[in-house]
Amino acid sequence: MAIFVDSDTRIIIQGITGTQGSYHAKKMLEYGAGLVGGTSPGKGGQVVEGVPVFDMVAEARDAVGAQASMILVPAVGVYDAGVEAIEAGLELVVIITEHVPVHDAMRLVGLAKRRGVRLIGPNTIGVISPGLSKVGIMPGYIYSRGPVGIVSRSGTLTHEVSSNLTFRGIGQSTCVGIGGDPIIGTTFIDVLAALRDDPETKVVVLIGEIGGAAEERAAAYIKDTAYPKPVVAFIAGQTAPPEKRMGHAGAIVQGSAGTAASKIMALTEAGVVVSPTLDTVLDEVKRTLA
Amino acid sequence: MKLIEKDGKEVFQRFGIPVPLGRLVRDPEAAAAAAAALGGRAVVKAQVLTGKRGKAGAVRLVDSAEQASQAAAGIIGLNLGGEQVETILVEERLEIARELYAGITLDPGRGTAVLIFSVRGGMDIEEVAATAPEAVVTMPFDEVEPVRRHTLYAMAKQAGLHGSELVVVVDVLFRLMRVFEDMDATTAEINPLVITAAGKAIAADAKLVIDDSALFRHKDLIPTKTEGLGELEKAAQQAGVAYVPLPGGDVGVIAGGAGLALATMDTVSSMRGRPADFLDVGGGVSVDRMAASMRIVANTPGVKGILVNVFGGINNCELMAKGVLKAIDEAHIDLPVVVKMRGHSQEEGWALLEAAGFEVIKTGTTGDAVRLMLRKIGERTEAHGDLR
Repeated sequence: MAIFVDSDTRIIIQGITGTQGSYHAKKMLEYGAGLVGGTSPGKGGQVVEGVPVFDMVAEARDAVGAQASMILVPAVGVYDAGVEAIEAGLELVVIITEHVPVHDAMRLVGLAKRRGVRLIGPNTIGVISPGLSKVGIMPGYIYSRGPVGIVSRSGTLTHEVSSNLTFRGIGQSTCVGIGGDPIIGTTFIDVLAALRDDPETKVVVLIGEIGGAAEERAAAYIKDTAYPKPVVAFIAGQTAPPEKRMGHAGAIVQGSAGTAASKIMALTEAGVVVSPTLDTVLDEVKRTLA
Repeated sequence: MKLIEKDGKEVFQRFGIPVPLGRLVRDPEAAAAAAAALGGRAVVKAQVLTGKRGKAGAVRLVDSAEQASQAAAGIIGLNLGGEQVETILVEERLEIARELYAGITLDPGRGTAVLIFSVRGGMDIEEVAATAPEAVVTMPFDEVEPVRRHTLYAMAKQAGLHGSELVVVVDVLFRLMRVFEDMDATTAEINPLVITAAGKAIAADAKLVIDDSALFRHKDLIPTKTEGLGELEKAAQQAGVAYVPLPGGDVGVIAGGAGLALATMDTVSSMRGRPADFLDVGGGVSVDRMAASMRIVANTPGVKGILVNVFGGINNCELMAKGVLKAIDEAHIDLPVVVKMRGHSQEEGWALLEAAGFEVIKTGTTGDAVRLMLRKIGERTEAHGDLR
């Protein structure tokens, strides 16, 4: 079992003819992911890494049964690409691109909610169910199959924790980068809810960082639902100098949340094991699995 | 990008939000002339991006051109939270009947924007929200469908407005939502939103922050003042990397991804080292961007060694290794360098670095890399001590 993506998922890349698109098409195929095509307006009929290119997502859906899309177009084109994927009725849309205007992200998140589409990102490495498939840009070999579910705001911290686990013989069920932007589709809570029902996942690693209040909300969810699986957390930025605050309007929504201390306290009170350093996440996971 | 009050008000005005008459000046003589043009009665306000103005005496009421000149002389050059006052706004004084609050910002918890309104303006809105939550009304929206004017009427009525006040205030709220959406703002705030004795609604202040990722859509927006950046910060901006120098540190940090950069700093601190900077190289790193990052960190005051902690995910290890070596070669960086790198094209990257004599952390943790870095800095410092 895995969440969000498995070996049957039929995937396309939007922007497959670009430098990043064609490179990651090759990497996904090498990994054994179910990449069945890609899109690039005006390039329909071409072939990239052996898979067909379409002008439009709806054509890829009809011709090759696309269910999931990985968006790798430049930030300026993400809104249009996202709307197209959502309105074509795909089940999963993953936006890898960084520096997407936040209003564009908000409109996409709103549209995906109304249509019942799972949107992941923007600004994410994507999602990988090691050994089965990936809709993401992560180097596959530093991930391995096993009992640890990972959810993270930071892509490279997901690589770090997964590779540290993999090199020491501990695999992962599914790893989800939810993205580092203020407005994102799939949240910590969405992933925690999915991993709760995944029988293969025995322990969840939650990787957060300073700023915002997403970790505090995850802590409240874990506490309120008496979350049935052990959760190990790490918060990056414990020694960072305090953030500059934006206007009052921002502070009123976030309250006093946002500091590492606030997040660590909320998670600890929810029964989560908070690892003091990045390296000790390994020890805490090992102890939990023992 | 934060805008000073006057720039924010000019945007407001473009969208039809009433603002007081006013002029931006840079010296006492011009302040006197501006006040005289307003009939002498005026407000003199420091134009800064970050500092608090009220308590620092950087907003003053004057009754004559002479007083305006004196007030300007007293405000120009003030240091407000590290920011030097260079420009001031001389503005019409409003006949205030009531002060309201209107603000729009992002609500990451809901994944939406949120409009916040209160009839208790002019003071700290956080305090109002904490002490009298019933005085603050909020409305989430996500721009998928347009917000209707009648929805805003309902909201303003709930907050206690009626009659002609209801109409003039809702018109401002409606236009503020247009500012927020069309200008790609992350914050658009009016505090106070003044109701004058004559019953008009006027934005007496303006706080406007534009999403940096959307500036490509607003090339016509030329701010009067931008945040003061040091030489290295400017170089970082030009290279497209996120960089914050940390005074008092000696371990230079270059990482891929903000989370890993923060965690690397934390790891340095946990081993009793002192990080000298935060630098996130971002995605799609080129040889030149990596080389620029190396130069920026090497030139950061106090740096005794550089730790590079990156992954080949959206980036490529071979290109990043070439960038590290290019900087060392061309900028003659003579500092201990430790590289932890794995992911796409790692074999090529490792081979280049090892051929140049660098120790590479391949499967070790960030902790292993930091330990090695601190040891190398220690060895170098000792060697220099011996020479002395």
